[in-house]
Amino acid sequence: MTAYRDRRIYGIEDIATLLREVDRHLNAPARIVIIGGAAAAFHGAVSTTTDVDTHNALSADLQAALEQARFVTGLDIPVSYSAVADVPYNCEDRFEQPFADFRCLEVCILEKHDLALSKVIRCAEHDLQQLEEVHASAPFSLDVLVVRFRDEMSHVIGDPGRIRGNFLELIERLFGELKRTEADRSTRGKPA
Amino acid sequence: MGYHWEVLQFLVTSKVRRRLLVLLWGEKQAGSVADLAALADVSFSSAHAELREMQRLDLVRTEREGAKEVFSANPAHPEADLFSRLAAADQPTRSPASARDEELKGKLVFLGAPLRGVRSSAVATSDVVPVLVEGAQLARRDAVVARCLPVCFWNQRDQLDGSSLRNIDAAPETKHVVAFFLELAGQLGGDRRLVGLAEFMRDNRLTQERPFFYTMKPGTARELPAAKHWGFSINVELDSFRSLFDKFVSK
Repeated sequence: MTAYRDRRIYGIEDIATLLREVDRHLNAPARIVIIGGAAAAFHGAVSTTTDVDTHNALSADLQAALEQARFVTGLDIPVSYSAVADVPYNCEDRFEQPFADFRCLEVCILEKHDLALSKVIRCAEHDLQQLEEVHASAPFSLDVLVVRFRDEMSHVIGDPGRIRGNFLELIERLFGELKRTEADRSTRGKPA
Repeated sequence: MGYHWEVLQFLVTSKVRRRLLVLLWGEKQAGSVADLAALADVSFSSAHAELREMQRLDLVRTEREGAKEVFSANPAHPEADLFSRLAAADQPTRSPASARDEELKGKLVFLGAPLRGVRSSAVATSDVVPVLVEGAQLARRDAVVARCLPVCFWNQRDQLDGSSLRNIDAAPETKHVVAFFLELAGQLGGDRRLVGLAEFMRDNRLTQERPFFYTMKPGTARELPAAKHWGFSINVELDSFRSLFDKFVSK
C-alpha cells in the first residue's frame, strides 16, 4: 500500500498552529482575510477541504513567512488568493478576528452571514452543503441574510436574476420553502 | 437534506397544499383565505380550494372573527401529532454522516482526498478500486467528497486498467459515476488514457439524464460536459474541481 499524503488531519487547530508560526516569522504587519471552506470550518462546517482561500493577495513577506511556517510545523496547507470571490460591500466592518494575540499577523474571517452571501454567487452543491453545516452548528438569521443581500450585494458581477435565484435556493435549503417565499417577496425588484 | 423534508416534498407534491400545511401545522398560523394565501405566496383561488378540501377532511377548523372566516389547524384531529411533525420538516436539516461514511472518508484521505479533519485510514492495493467505487457512491450524497474525488482517481491512475474496471461489481448508474470521475480526472490532469478507460463502464441502457447529487433541485445545473457525457446534471462548475485539483496534484 502507498500513502499519497501524510497522515495529518488538517483541522482548524492545524490552521491556527500554522498561522501562529507565520506570525512568529513576520517582522512587519500583514493581513490575511480567510474566506471559503476554511472560513466555513471556523464557523462550524465539518465537510471542508484542507486548503485556505484568502480574499486578499498575499504579500511577498507573508508568502515567505508561510513557507517558513510550513517547514517548521510540517503543515503543508495550501494558502492561496481567490481572485474571483465576491463579498458583501461592508463585510470588512464585520470581520471576525479569532487570533487577537498575534504580534504582526492580522487574521480576519468573514462573518458567517457574509460568508453565506459570498457563496451565493457560485452556489455550488458543496457550498450549500457547508452552509447547511454552519447553520446546524450556529443558525443563520433569515432577516440578516435578506437585508444584506438587498443592501450590500448590488455591486457583484454576474447575472442579477441568476444570483437572486441562487440566494433563494440557499434560503430554501436553510429555512424551508415558506421562508423562501418570504425572502422572494422581500427581495423582489431589488437588483442583486 | 433531511429525510423528513424529502418525504414531505415527495408525499405532498402540490406546492399550494404543502405550503398551507406547513403554515397551519408547522408554524401554527391562523388566518383568512386571503391572509394564508399571502403568507404562502399563492393565489387566492388555489388557497381557497385547498382550505375547503382540508375543512372537508377535518384537517382545519374555522372560526368567525367578525366578517372574517379564520382557518387554523385542527388540534383535535386524531393524527394531529403526525401532521405537526411532517409539516415541521419544512426546515431541512442535513443528515449526519454515518460511521461507515466517516470510515470511507478516512480511506479516501489515504488515497489523497484533501478532506479537513478526517483521519487517514490505510487502504491495501487490492482494495483501491472498491474504495474508489464506494467513494463515487458517497459523492452523490456529499458534494465535498465529490470535489475531492478527481484527486484520488488521479493518484491511483496507474492501478486503473480495463480489466479492473470491467470487473467492478456495481449498478450501471454507479459505473457511470465512476466513469464521470475518471473522465474528469483525465481532463483535469491531461491524461486522455483515463477518458478512454471510462468507456469500459458505458452502459447504453442509461439514456436519461439524472441529477448527480440527490439533494440537487431541478434547474440549478451548470454546464459540465464530463457530467453530461455520463448522463448527469450537476451544480458544480469545472473550475471548482480544477481549483482543488491543481492545489493538491503535482503533475
